[in-house]
Amino acid sequence: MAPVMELKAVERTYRMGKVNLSALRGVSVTFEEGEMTAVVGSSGSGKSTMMHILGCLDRPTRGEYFLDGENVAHLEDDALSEIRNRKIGFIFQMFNLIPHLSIAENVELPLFYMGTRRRRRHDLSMQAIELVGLGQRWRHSPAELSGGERQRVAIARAIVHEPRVVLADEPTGNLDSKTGAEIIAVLHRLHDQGRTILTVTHDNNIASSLTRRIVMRDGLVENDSSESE
Amino acid sequence: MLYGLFELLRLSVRCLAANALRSLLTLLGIIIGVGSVIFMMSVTAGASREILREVEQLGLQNIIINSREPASDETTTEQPNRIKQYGLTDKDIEQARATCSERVEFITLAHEVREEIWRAGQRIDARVLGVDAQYFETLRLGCARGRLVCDLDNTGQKPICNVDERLLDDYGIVQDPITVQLDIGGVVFDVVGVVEQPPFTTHNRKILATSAKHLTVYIPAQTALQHYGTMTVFLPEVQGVQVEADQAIVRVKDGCSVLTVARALDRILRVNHPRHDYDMVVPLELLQQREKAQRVFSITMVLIAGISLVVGGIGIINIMLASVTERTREIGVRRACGAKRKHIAYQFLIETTTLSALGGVIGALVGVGGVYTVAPRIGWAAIVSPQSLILALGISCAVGIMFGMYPAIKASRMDPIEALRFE
Repeated sequence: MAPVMELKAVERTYRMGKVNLSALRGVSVTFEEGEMTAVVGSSGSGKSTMMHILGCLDRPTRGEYFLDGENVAHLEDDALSEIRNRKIGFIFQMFNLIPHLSIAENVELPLFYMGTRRRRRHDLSMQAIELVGLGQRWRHSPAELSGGERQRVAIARAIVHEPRVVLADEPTGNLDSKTGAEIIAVLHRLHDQGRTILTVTHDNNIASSLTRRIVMRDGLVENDSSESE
Repeated sequence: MLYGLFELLRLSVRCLAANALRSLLTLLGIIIGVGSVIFMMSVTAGASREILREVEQLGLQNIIINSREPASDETTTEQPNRIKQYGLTDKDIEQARATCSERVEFITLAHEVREEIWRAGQRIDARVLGVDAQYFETLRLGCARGRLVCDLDNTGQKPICNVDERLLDDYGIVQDPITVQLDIGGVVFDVVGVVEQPPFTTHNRKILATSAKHLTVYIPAQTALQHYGTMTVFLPEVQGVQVEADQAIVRVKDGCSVLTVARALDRILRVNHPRHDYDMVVPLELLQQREKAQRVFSITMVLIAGISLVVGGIGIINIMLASVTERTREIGVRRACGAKRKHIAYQFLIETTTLSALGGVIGALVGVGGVYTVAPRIGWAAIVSPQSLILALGISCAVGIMFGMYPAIKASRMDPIEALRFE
């Protein structure tokens, strides 16, 4: 079976004034369906850049990226938007909920851009909200929720459209350890349901609790637990 | 697509409602601009209608010439017995008929008889006008009761008269007016008809007035000449006036240029009347002058409204740019969730257009309210046409689209990664 995501010799170079800065220097890595992977590394190691490319928010300067068997490395902006919309769910460190929308409306966002009808959107978002344990609070605004609850809403938004991959960028970085653990438990539950999850984290406890662990350093994969096994 | 737009519209309203006060303040320029447009259009339409109505009363095909008493130092032809002689003469009318016969339908004359009117021992303060049947037709004076002076009355020099409707009220004449008799300078006249009170405006009354008196008794012109002549002598001092015709109304044939005839008549009168003891009023010219003034007013108002709308537009662009910056992270989130650039652009553009359309609606309400509050108080007619409302709303939406374009494009071009990192 083809991997869900596959990076082949991916390089990403940024131009900073007159200097070229290499964030990724030939990364090749594959992610199978149903895997739950932690990407760790120090600041500037390239883990966020890799996640942006995997999430189709950015394009590699060189190399290929196959998502679901399709080479998406050099697609146009609109095509990448469509792929993000259908195949990828994001969870951010800062939750990134839209303050003037209700919880249900925040969760509905990917469906909105898919063109899903309002009633169906509402039904699907309610299912996702139920799944993260906030069923009674769908009418509330983000300001009325605690940090942990906001991150649960963000998780619901990331899975409401049944993406192929859920990408989490430091999902517990803004939470206390207890709440963080709850969030990781939610992610584990989603993984148990068969979802492919990739988490960028600084937290070694989280990383060690996941099935696969990729260590990045200086724009390269330094260690991949799946290969060393 | 339509559904998507409706959804974006709903979203826009939510976003605007979230910052209600700021949205309202942003709209002030648009509200003032649109309000001015509505007010200006309504007042202009009302004023135009009023002007047209007023001038139509005088008749667009008419030329009105009134005799005017020159100032005393101008009366060089004063006779030794101190009889003032001035105004239009039969010679003027004959020359006018001869020169403009092909273009003039008719000329109707009015001669004021300067005699006192008495009825049952009561003096009636009204002017007496010797007229022919065409006079009533020319000024569209209707008959309220009885009949008006006709050609037979003139040729037969009959001692009959018509009176203004208001004269009956003012002098408490409650009996059947047709049975009333009036003594005019010692001659008894039978009232045979009542003239409908003409709906003349104050301005028109001034134009048509041959004296300061408000009420009129109409008698056949030939009867007036037979009994009173053209000269009036006031005793005990031997002084008086001699006016052959106090007013001439020239009706120009349809299709002929009123202004050309007016110029030709003026040439004749200038030669015959070096003292310029006449006034000529051309209603058509009056209409043109007023329409010109109206246009200047309209252009000024359009400019003011335009400036206001531009200021409003600048207010909108300013707030929307601030809003785009404020919502950078939201833009990033939406892009991450699959929004294309066009979705982001539409969202902000619809938001701006909704905002300015709302300003348009409020401005229209303010404008309509202003028209109905201010216009009656300053004596202007108020006409709010649906076209002006549609135009105002159209303009406000156009301002929204025009000034919302730049913030919308700026928002849509944001890099999603940078937007998500925005603090």
